[in-house]
Amino acid sequence: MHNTHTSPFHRLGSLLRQTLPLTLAIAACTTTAWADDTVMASEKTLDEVIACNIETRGGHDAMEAAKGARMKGKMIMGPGMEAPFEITFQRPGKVRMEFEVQGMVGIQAFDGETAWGIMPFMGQNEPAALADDQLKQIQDQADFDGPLVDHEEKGHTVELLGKVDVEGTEAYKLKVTKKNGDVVTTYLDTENCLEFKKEARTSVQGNEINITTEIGDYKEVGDLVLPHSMTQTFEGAPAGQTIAIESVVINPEIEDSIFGMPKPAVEKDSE
Amino acid sequence: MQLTSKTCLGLALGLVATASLGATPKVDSYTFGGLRARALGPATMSGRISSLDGVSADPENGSPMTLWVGTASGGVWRSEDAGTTFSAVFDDHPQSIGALRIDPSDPQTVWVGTGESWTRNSVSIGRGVYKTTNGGDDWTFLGLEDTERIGAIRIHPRDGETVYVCATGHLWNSNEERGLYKTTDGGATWSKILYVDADTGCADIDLDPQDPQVVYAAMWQFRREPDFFTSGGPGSGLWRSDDGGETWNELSQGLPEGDLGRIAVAVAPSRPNVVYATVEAERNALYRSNDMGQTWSEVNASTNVAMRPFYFSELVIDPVDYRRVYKPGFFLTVSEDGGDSFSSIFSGGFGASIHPDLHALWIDPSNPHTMALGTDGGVYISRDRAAHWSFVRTLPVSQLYHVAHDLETPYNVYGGLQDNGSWTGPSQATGGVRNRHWDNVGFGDGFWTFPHPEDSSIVFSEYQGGQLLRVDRTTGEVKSIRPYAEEGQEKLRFNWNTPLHLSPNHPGTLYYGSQHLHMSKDRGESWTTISPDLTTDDPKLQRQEQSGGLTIDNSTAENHCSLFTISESPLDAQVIWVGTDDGHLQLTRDGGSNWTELSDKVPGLPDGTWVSRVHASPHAVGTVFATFDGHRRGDMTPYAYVSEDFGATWRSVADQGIDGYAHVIAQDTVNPELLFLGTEMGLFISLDGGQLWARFKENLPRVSVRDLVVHPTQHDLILGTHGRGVYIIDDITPLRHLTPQILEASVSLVPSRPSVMTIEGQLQTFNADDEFVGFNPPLAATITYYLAKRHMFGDLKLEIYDDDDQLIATLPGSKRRGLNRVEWPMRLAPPKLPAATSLVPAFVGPKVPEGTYRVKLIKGKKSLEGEVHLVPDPRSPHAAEDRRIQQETALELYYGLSDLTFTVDSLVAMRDAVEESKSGLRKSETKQLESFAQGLEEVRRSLVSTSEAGMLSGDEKLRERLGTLYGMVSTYDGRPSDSQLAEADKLMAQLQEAMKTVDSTIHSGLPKVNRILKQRNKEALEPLSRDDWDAEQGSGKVASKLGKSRALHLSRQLSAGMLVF
Repeated sequence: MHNTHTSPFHRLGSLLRQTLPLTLAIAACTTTAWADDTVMASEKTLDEVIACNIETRGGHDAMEAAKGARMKGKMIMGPGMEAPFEITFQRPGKVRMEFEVQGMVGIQAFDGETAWGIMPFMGQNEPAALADDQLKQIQDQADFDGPLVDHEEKGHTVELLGKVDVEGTEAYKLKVTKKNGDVVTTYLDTENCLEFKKEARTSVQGNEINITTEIGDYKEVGDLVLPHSMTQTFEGAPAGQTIAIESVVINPEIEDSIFGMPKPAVEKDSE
Repeated sequence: MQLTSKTCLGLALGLVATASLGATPKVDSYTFGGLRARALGPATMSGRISSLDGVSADPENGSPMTLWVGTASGGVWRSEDAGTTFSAVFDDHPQSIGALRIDPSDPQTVWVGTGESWTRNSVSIGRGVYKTTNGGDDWTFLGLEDTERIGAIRIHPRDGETVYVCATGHLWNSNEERGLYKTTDGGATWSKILYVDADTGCADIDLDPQDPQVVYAAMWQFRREPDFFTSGGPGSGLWRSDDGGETWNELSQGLPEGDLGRIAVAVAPSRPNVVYATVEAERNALYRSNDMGQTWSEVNASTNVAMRPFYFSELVIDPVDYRRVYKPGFFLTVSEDGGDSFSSIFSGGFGASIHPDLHALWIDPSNPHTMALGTDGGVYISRDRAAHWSFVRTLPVSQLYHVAHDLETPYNVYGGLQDNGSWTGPSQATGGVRNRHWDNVGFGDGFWTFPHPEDSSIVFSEYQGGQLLRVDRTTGEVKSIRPYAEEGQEKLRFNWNTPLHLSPNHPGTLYYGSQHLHMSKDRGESWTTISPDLTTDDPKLQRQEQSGGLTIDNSTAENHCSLFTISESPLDAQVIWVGTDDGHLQLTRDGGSNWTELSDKVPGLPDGTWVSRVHASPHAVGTVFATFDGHRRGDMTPYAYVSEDFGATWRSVADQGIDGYAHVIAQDTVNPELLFLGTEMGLFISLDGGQLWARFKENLPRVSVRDLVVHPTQHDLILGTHGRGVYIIDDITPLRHLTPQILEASVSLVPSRPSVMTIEGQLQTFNADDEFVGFNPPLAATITYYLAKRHMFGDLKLEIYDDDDQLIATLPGSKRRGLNRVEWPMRLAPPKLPAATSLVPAFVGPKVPEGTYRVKLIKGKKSLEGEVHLVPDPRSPHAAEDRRIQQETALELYYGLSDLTFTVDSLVAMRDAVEESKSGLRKSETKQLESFAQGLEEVRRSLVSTSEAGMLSGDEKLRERLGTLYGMVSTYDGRPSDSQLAEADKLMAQLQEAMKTVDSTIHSGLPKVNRILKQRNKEALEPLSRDDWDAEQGSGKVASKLGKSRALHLSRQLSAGMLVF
């Protein structure tokens, strides 16, 4: 409900604080509420829907063959405000994201054990462990295949709630209860079984907030079909923030050390 | 965006040929896609609150008090932070709330009974019972759909599956789905456990908190007609069951004899044998029973206890003190002695700081000093047991009857509110439209409100029963300008909501309707009656003086046989249409000399049906649209008709897709096939002249749309809702172009209005979160396109090209079915800055100049082209030459920042490469390399901030100065100051100097370093090349026409990629 106009400087400050960690963590948690209420029976079972989803995305084997990936693109944080970013995944469950504002580079990474980040815009120039909220989000992010794939092994519970109409698109409505208790409602179009929208409640500084994510621009990258566009909208906000992926490399050269938290440097400034 | 007609036609035809889906286009709510309504408020005057409930704060887990608000016609709102912020959680359902109750065993489970039971003339309708089990995110419909209104809900204190619903039932006719209902399975099935007859409903219930098998129920016989209200009759009475509703006893010992009216009943929670009831009878009074209702005695009949029982039948007993009785009524009175005496909590009552007319009171059971009060004007919260109150400023549930606009930039909207006066506020404001932006221009119950078309410092407004005002906004002085009966005329009869109409042909000419039509050409100083009595003048329909039933209630709300709607043809001032509340539809074609009554020509319309709106077509003089509203006689059918022959014949345009009785219809001013219809259940749009309708629901609740108007220059659709304030759908140009050809294509660009390059105001405020803010329209150019289905595969993006065919922006596309809108901020990419330790206020790129830009919509392999037109802000005081200088200076600094970034990057690259080459060298060689690296670092430190102290370090180097100056110049649309221009020259000279210094530092030291490396068989180092650096910044070589003018510098500096989004 608030679109307070302050200086761009103020705006960026709060934007970074509020959105960057979340934009990084594309997946988040909890309940429904924003799609059409009428639920119809689904002719497919849950297993069939998930199998169809995996098939459209290139199949299990192709997914497993992708041991790592690097994506580059830009984040659009508000009208005219954008930042280049790069995100690198490596199995099992490692991720690192960098983004740049005014030459200053923010980092968030997770090596499977420790989640850490550097936020020079906030005056944090040394690596520090992420807060619990952010840890949850980056763990989600590190799951390259998403929670539907091998959900039982991962300890998630997935329910097929039925078919619904989402903004004029027929969709399977799935409720994913993560191992950590978070819940995401996700919508897969019935034509391709691809996720195009999800609704979650996520925690920001200890307070819960509803977030809708729209997913799209699926493209073939090698044997995989990957989304190239994600827009997150916070409850009550007039517009969302978009991640536009411009390039994807599957199995690039990755140094394993980039995921771990570096030891604090001794007396070194901006570079 | 606008397409030339040629482009548009070519585009459409091309698409039909190549991209047709072959199926009949489906028009439904999703066709309107991403066109959103935006809520403007006001919340400065809120609306009627019908029900409240809450959950105490929990000190154990730290959760604050939760507050739930049920409104008369603005839905359900939830606050999880003790009333600081509220969210609307019921927008897809009927917005009129009768009762709302939180399950005592589970605070996430809330029951909502729709349909307000405070049955005033303007009351809305509900459609049964809903329940959420997750705090309002999802709602399940539980039936009792035909109850129309619910007076109360009570949930078993320990068994959330057992719930009692007190169904008041139909107001305007008999029905059987009313009385007291009970479920024991969470709402899956219902039993009607107490029923009197089809004219008597349930008004109130309460449970004994210690023994919830004990149920008290107040039954009420009541009826409303267009001109009459009756409260009371033999059906009314107070009942008790001791077995959960299996068997009932009527309670009468000590209660008044004869017919009873509305009764409120309340059990004292702390001593349940004490029961209180306000009883409407020949003498209205509060009664108390000390023996669970077996015997009663009258304890008080003071004014606030006895007043208007149909409207103020609410009684609340303190949770811990059985003798403390609160009586919300016209104002709030309290008794501390079990009802024997009452005193006003407010000093003087009428002087109170809160809105009068109280309908709901919730007292925090854990802390009875905290309470929330629901009034005709919103919610108030007290934390000191009602001594002082704070107003909830976040609830935009104002109940408009009508809406209008002026022609200012930005334009203002005007409207009158139920019990909250008349107001005007801007359609946009720096930082959003806040409560303080609204100005009061009338009082009482507000209805039609218009600015004088040629002088918006003069506003015409009115209050109930025909009181017409002229407000001088310069001084605030108000003059009453109502017409009076002329010699020989009967007393004038004015509707509650008296029609005021401005002539579209003669600016300043006013029409006003009693039973006659009156006209004034002198701002209301004098009036001419230009019609005979145009109503039925049926004495049987003029009973307002006897209205009320047991308690006479003649507030002008039942005034009848009066004009209700007036419309002069925009094409011929002699053609005037008038509709009356008793079903007459009258036409004059000679400015009022002769009138013809035409309602009998309207097929399928019950005789005497209230004419809710006549709307003379802006396209054809003989064409008129009319809506009729029979709900006050129990007929909920939406009636909308058109006549194309001056009313001789009519056909219905409301056959498909409409829900709710009809208030208003309007034909678009540009496309005659585009129709808008406001009903009690929302906004409906037809693209084909009324054959098919679809509800517009993007960010617009299922709220009563009482009035709507298309802004003639901005092309916005402005909605006056009765429950959620004013909404604006910005720029309906795309709707005007949704032709069958467009709808059949898989993808089409659709025209939009020219995009104004709005000057952004600056504002420093710290308003916190406890105030509603109406969103502004985006400060961006809007590009619209239509998708036949959701886009899933491949790119969906927009590219913007300047007139040199240079790509200047790439925007991600929206992907939903129907219309999609993408906003282009009309700026280049943000400036490039070298790494440093502080942020500078330079986050966005420079604005592009106004003009026409080419748009390419890329969808997978398809690509469509159109144009977007950027026009200057009409308010702009800046001459074209000044704007040009601003743009050039901003660009010079923008590219200067790029140069600086390259320069610093080259220093850093060299420094790091030197550091990496040190290994294996001799100590003296290492020292030489280190000295070189150190020299580079020193230069870097002279160019960018390096202090770790961050924001407040005061560490300002060239980067910070250049960036800050860029930020200031690029965010002001006019000529930079002379000082800024001089500073720009100075900093650009420093930049040139710095670039030379860097160049010479690198080139003077590098040969020596490379000699050493060569001796050690190491690779020689090379300076960073500008081409390589450019290539890394992004793909594509981009120049801009912007770069041409300040040529020398810019042409050299056009770094590849800097303009690529």
